[in-house]
Amino acid sequence: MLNRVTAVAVATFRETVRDRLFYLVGFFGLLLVGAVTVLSPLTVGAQGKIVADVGLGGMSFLGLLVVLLVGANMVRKEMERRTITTILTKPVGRGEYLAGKYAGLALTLTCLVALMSLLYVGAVALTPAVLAWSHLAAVYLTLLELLVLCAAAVLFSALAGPALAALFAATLFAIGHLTESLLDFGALAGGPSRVLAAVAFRLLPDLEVFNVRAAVVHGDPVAAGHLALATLYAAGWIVVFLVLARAVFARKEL
Amino acid sequence: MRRFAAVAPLAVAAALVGLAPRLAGAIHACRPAADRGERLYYPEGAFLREASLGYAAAVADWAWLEAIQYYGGYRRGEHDLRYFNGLVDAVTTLDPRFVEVYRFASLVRSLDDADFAGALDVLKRGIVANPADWRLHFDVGFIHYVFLRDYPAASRWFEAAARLPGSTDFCRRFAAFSRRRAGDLSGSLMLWENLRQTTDSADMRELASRMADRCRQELADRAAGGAAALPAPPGAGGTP
Repeated sequence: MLNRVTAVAVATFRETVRDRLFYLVGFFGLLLVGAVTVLSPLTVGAQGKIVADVGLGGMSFLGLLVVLLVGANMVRKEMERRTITTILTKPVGRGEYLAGKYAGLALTLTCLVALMSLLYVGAVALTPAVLAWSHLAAVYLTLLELLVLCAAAVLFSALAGPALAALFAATLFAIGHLTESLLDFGALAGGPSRVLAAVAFRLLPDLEVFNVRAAVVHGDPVAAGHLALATLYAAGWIVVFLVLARAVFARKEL
Repeated sequence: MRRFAAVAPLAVAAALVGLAPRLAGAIHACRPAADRGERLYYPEGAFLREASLGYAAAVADWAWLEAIQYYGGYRRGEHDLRYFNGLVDAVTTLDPRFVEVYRFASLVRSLDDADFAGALDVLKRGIVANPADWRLHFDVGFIHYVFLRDYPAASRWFEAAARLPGSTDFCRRFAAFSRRRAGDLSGSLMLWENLRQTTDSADMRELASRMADRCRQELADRAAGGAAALPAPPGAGGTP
């Protein structure tokens, strides 16, 4: 089983390489060069902070773009091209196919984030900002967030067309960062909104647990316990989304 | 002819791209002046914080650049500073730990508006969000010292700054000068002695030693001349 999942994952990874997805690293590099050379001199005493914010935020945003543009289109594209039928006629189960697809894109995201973090370390070294281990912890947590969103994108991709799947994934990202505020809004509105907000709070991932970017830029450490629990939290949501995706995909007529 | 047909569209496209900024400028010029005051409609920090979806720090940086540009426009005489405080509030709500913003805003309020109460208010908001940052405490002391000439208050803030991690000898130096200006010669002597014994800088040690000797001399003169009740003359504290 593992061999079959690995085979699909490697094929997916190769496909993203062929799609020149790694050009995004070059774009990220340009973004950092812009932050160091253009934005930094305009700031008053906050050069290091601006470069670190742009770097960590840019990494997360570009990763999100990959999830929305590639992840949300992943399964549907193969259904439209009919390549999926070729794959599924081989001894590859639907669940294995989805797991392989997810693993391939997860590998792509990991490589992208790793390359971008190398550039980030170089850019921050050019500024007065102090580069601490906590910056790498922030990068790791960003990667976890992207992996959770990627699993959600696989689910949405199995459910709907590319545009709707991307929209669902973007909405999940937005709500995921507003879950705490949702409770407050619900409490303010009262009535059914309160119940809806409470349901959304419990049924959707709280993506703010992966967001320590602002804190590390100001020099705060990230506790090992935070990293361990966030890893567990991410793993839980990834399993939930992939199990749901498998259930949806198993009933799909191809 | 075929070559011309290939190049002509490209030349037209290049000309259009070249003209576009002028056209955009002309369009902006057509808008009424009031319509261009888009900072009037700048969203509040609380809204921006929710709308930034996890990118609050990056949005704060963006708003900070806007605030600096706005201040630059004021320095060039393009407008007044009426929306500056709103921009600063947006930045500090988005990122309450952006210490440079509080410091810059307090300087602008002090130097451009002569609004010292407003400057102290901004700095104290910064202290609430960043209680361990010595620079904010120092700046409060500096405003009391330079602009308000409230030397007892200045020395309290400088001493508070000196107790915080990362503070430099300058805090203790300013605290000692403030105490002296406030007429508290024994307090000033104590601070100079402490600075002399603990500083790593040879120049600072030499200054502290000289100022401690001067304080001792003045205390002795007061005791001898019965002048203890007299207030310190203006400017007697020296120059930090």
